Amino acid sequence: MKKNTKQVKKKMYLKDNLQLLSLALPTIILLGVFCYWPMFGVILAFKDYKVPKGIFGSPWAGFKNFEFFFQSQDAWRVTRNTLALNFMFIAVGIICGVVFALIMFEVKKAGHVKVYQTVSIIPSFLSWVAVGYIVYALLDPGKGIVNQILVFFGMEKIPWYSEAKYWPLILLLSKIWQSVGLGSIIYYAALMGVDAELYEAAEIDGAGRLKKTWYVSIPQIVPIIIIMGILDIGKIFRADFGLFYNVTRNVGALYPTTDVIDTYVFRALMTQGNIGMASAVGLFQSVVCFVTLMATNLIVKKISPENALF
Amino acid sequence: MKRAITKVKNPKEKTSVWVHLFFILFGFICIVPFMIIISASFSGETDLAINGFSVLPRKWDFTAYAYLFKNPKTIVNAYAVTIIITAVGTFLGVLFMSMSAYCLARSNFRFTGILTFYIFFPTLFSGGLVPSYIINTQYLHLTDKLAALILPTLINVFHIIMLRTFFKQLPESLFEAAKMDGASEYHIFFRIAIPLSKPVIATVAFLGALIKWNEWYNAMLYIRKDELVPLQYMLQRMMQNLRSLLDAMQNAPAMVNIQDLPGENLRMAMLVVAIGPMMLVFPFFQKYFTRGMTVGAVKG
Repeated sequence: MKKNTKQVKKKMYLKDNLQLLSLALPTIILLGVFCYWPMFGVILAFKDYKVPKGIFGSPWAGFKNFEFFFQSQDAWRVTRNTLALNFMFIAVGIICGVVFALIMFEVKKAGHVKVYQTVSIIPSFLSWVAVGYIVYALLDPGKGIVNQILVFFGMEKIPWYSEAKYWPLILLLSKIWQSVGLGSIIYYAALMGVDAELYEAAEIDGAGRLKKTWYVSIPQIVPIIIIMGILDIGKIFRADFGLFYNVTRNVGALYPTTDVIDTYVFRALMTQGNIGMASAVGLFQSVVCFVTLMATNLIVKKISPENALF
Repeated sequence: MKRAITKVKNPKEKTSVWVHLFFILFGFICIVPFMIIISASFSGETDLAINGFSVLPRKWDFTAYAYLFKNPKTIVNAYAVTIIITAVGTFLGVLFMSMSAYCLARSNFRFTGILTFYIFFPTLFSGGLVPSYIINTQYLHLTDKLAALILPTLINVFHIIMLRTFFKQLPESLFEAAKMDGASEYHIFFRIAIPLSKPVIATVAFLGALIKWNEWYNAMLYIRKDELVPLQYMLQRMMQNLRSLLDAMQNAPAMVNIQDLPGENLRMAMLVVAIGPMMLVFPFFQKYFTRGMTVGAVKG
């Protein structure tokens, strides 16, 4: 009898697991086709791809594709742009997000908080395509608002879309404008979690608004700031393609400061049709990305295990 | 976390005027760009060419909208495509993701470790654009198929993690009780887990719908046919090349003077019609997006 129930249990267990596995099946298949298959496709970087022969049948090319990229001046330019611009986005993004949250924390009426939050999040609903239109309306050399303002103050018009030097700043402002409202939410939530007694104690000690912010609020959210920073650094080699492609309108004159790895790979593939080099650059990016992610995760694990990705 | 956000604030405390001023100013920075776009769409083409964009129209002019509604094929079509990919993509995405998230949350599932790794690994390493592009075009033949806009982005690993975290909080005893009554795992999932998880499902659905509504990237890669172009890609093509789009909208040979044709104002009117409705709708569901921000930060 006892043996029998054991068998029934085992059978149930098997049945449950089969059912559960079948529930996960669509996800397994989709990830397999759209994520894992391309992962094996990275061998394209070492191949001389010929369409009729397919990925696996094409002849090997050794490191030729990589040489082509790393010997060109583009390698340094796109890597530098990706790292420098992303680093700037991360640093300024965090500072703005935290300051925004701190100011939001000073709003004392819940109703006001809601209104301000709603308005500040609106830009986050826009695609980069739409943001590109807005930047265009501001910066078009002939009709743009910014040049009208410059003229109003007696200054020269600036042909924005042919002056690469301004673009790191323009991209930064676009990025911050689009993301600060939503990005500050996490810091705001952290501030709301700070023990109210700490503020009361500070008040008894005679601390004003600024002192309370400096000595209570900021130290309390430093851990989450550090974690968010490290997690962002982990993704520093991956650029936000939509931002760089749409906001610059893919204008060639701006490449010196706005061309990043992602846009470079895209052009190498879609306009030059240089599949070998495009996949070599892509693989280079994926590998560096993987290494930085693993490294940053290791650091997070050391400081705060519960925030580690894995 | 959620309880903390809705914490009642001390009503005696007053907000500083400077704080209000800051947010009013910031509100302007958020809203004024939209006003410039709307104003341009209600201006005449020659007016724009001479005076440039403005925050409010110098002279109201409805030619762009008249033109747009006389030749609505392009935009109606793009709306249809976007609605289809958003609806189908969100529905299937939420269904498949919650199915696998449930699987990961169940204690009697044997393969939790390996399946977690399988689902999570693509966020660490990706094949990149080129292999995906070659496989999708040469092997899966997704060029000019709506599936190209739906399938590749169906699964979002962070959404699976959000769902799993929520499922895990459901009391285990519920599942055990159902098991005792002889319920299958399917039954427990659809009849018990799903109805109890409406908040997180709504959050994931809204986050997913927003991503799909703003889809242009895969369209740019895989869509060539005009009738399969979604809204955002239509806008992007129009940004790059206004002329060809005008030709596509009006099949008849141009009889009017080219200068009288709407141009810049039409471009902006298209943008208003394409993103306006959603800009009005999404803010009402703000809480789902803010919740996504705080829950999404929880580890995997």
